[in-house]
Amino acid sequence: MTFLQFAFNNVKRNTRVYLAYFLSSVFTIMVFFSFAVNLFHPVIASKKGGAVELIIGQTEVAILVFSFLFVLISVSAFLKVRSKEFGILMILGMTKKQLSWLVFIENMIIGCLAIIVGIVLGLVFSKLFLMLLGNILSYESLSFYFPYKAILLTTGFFTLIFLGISALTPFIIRTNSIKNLLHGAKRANREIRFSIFQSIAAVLLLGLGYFMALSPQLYDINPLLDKIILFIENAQYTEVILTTSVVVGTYLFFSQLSIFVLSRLKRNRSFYMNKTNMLWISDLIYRIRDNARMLFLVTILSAVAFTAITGVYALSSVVKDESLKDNPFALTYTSSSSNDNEQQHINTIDEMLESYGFKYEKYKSEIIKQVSKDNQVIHIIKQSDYNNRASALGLEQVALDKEQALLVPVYVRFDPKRDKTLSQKNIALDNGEINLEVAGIAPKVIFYSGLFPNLVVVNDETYDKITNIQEKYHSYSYDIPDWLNTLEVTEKLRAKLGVGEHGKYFWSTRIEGYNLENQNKKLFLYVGFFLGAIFFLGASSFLYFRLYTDLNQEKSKYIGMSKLGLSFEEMKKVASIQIAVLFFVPYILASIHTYFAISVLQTVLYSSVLNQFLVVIGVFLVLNIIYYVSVCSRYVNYLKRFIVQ
Amino acid sequence: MYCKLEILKLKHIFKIYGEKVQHCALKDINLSIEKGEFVGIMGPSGSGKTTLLNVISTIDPPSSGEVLINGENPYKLDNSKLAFFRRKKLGFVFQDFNLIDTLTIGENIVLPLTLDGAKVSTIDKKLKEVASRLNIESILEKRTYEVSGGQAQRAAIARAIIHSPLLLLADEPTGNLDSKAAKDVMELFESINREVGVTTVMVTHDPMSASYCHRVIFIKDGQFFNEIHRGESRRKFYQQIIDVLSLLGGEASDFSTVRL
Ligand SMILES: Nc1ncnc2c1ncn2[C@@H]1O[C@H](COP(=O)(O)OP(=O)(O)OP(=O)(O)O)[C@@H](O)[C@H]1O
Ligand SMILES: [Mg+2]
Repeated sequence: MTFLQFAFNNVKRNTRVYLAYFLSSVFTIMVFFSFAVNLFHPVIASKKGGAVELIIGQTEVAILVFSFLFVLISVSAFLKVRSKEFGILMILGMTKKQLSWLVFIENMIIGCLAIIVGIVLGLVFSKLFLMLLGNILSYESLSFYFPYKAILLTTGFFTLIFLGISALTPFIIRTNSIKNLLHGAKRANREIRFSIFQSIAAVLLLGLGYFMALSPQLYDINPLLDKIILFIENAQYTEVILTTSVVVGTYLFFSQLSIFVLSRLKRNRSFYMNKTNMLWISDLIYRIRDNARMLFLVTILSAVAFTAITGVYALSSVVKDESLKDNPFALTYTSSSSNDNEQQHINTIDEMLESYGFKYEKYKSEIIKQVSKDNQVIHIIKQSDYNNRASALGLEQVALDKEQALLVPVYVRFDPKRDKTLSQKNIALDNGEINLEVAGIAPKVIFYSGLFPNLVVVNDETYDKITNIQEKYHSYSYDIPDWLNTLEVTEKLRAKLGVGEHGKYFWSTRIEGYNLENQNKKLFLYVGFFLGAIFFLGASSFLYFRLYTDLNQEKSKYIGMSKLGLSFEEMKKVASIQIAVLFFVPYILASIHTYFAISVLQTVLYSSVLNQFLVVIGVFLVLNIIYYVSVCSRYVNYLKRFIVQ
Repeated sequence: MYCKLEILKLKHIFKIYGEKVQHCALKDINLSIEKGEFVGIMGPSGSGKTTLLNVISTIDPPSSGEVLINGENPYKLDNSKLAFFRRKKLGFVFQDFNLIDTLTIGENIVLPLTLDGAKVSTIDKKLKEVASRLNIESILEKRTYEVSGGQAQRAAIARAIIHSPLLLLADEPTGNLDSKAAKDVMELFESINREVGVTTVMVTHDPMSASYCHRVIFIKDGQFFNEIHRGESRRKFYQQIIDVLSLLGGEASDFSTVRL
């Protein structure tokens, strides 16, 4: 047996230990490769510099960083399980160099196999991914191609990752103490310590982060609170402070607070001394202490995953709502006075809609643009035109007298506190010759978001008296109940009318905005779902690896206890509670984090995303429960074999 | 003329564990072992036997004092030289065998040669020799979980001697075996020591196992306590060992029921 054969035999015969490591590598490689296949697809590559390429490219980078961390953590778990083996080899006279070489060869064997298997599986699935992506981007179909670039990229990057990790292994295996390696580095002998100060800091930091996330929604409850909120809003780097305090708070939660709480439980002697409570509490303290960093990582990864998925899911399910609000009418054509083809264009639109069999209602308005001496633009619409539109949009009719004006918001998300034009009390037209008093603010956009800023409604008589006319627009809005099917007719119209002509006419449709948003958001959904899924899977694997690494130590502990008369049922209970804590505490904390992260998102969205949040959290709860039950039962069954009955 | 060749020498060995609460596990141990000797180390639990063997094994440096193996202080060697030193000069046998699960018994045995980059022909020849001496030819292809404890310990002994080490070190090699298997293993140690001439140091709890040694050293609370030499009769030596153990206190009653 030569040294090389030795390394091969090691990998070949020890599948149980190597499998977890191998599979997690295969999984990350497969995901990375599938994305690379998307990224290098001729159709997508031809749209260089577009949003699609950007999004997929950035996702690829995120996956790469994640892959490195993931493989690193798998490999260190995998090396820890084998510390005894390394101890034996060292005592037989293996040099550090030989040990590094052995680990290197093994890594390379596993790495090469994982790259090959990952790419082959990736090829199988890439057809599916391409179909999905093609569907999302509404490209006819992304045909299959031979992705040699993706293969090169994946092979190159992962070879680098495995090389880099092999270079790091001497730092992971602490070869200096053969004694510790042989005895699997006893852990429980270090003293439990926690700091009350840091436990309180954990609560305060988490509280601060959550409060900052919620602050916009807490406005207007209490004047003192408002001052604090405004102070937070005006502070710089709010996001950085928020994220940092939640992340640090989470870390302290696991490293200090949880141990503090368990130690308190320990003091309640009637609870602590009750049957198996003593067992699981005392053991859990050690487990949490030793796994604090891992639990922290799992929580943060899960929170990122939940947030990403809730975010994209929420965005994609509200997209119809949002485009309805952005474009209250299905189609709006606006013409300025210098446009000679106005009537002809309108006829074309009418005919085209009719020829496709669409029922529609048309609303015409006239808008005057004025520029005051101080260069302020003001748009004016008369009351009868406004009421016409208002009836189409289901808004209240208005009756202004000659000295009154009604302000109309130009953006969907209007905020009288912050949009200055909406806080005007008086309006001066014709350079101060007509002075109006603001009677109120219209409830929503009446053309489409962004058209006609600083729009005021005035009484018809007042309107007729206006002399200072910079520009007069005619705007035609079409209400088409069946707007979701207007994509084809819109494309035909675009072929005829184009996008418009600067200073003459322009037109906008709801379906195009909806489609674009829909596409982007579906792409986000695709990407976000993917990232979320691999982050969550990664987080779960960390837990699994950890349990696996600890198994030997646990085994001897349970064997000892069973000799003392611990029944199988009791052992099962102790193990289940402990594993449940390791599985669900990060989940619960991550869900809470996500809730607050989502409330930040909520401030830029029109509709509530609470339902989406609940769905995502619920799905992950189910996944987590399935995962927990299967891991726990395997774990207990494994221990059962060693228990003295 | 009889020439005294010193294989192992310990001078004023101290070993202190712990940082805050210090515990002195070995106090001023001096020891000299000559070539070809078979020495047992005994003492109550916690007396420092394993610690002493670890210090000799070059895996746990003493807090003070000097260890000389064949005139050389292994703790003064750098890491790779120390690895070579272990590979060439030392052989280890453990209570729980410490065979590597991924390898067959035969592969486990040849590991020290493999690590040394020996030629395949040499490896095969030595494996054959050692396997026939230890009577384990039939299990060479088996995996570690397919053999009995006694067989596993023989394989571990084969691994410890295949490279003809200068010093064979064993920590309770019979601790996990029943009395029959323990007897076989001890007879093996004795015959290897006699026929090959390997200097052997063995830690044990078991007076029966210890009675195979030439000399038994007793330690108590980390200090040298007593030393007895074997005469002609192993049975008599066994009785002497029991006597010293009862002097050491407490534990002797545990052993007195053991039959030879
Ligand atoms: N890593 C360590 N840290 C602190 N103290 C230790 C350590 N290892 C051993 N000790 C202490 O040193 C003393 C000697 O331990 P050692 O293992 O050498 O005893 P032993 O004679 O081999 O006992 P046994 O017969 O039970 O195996 C004991 O009191 C033990 O508690
Ligand atoms: Mg011991």
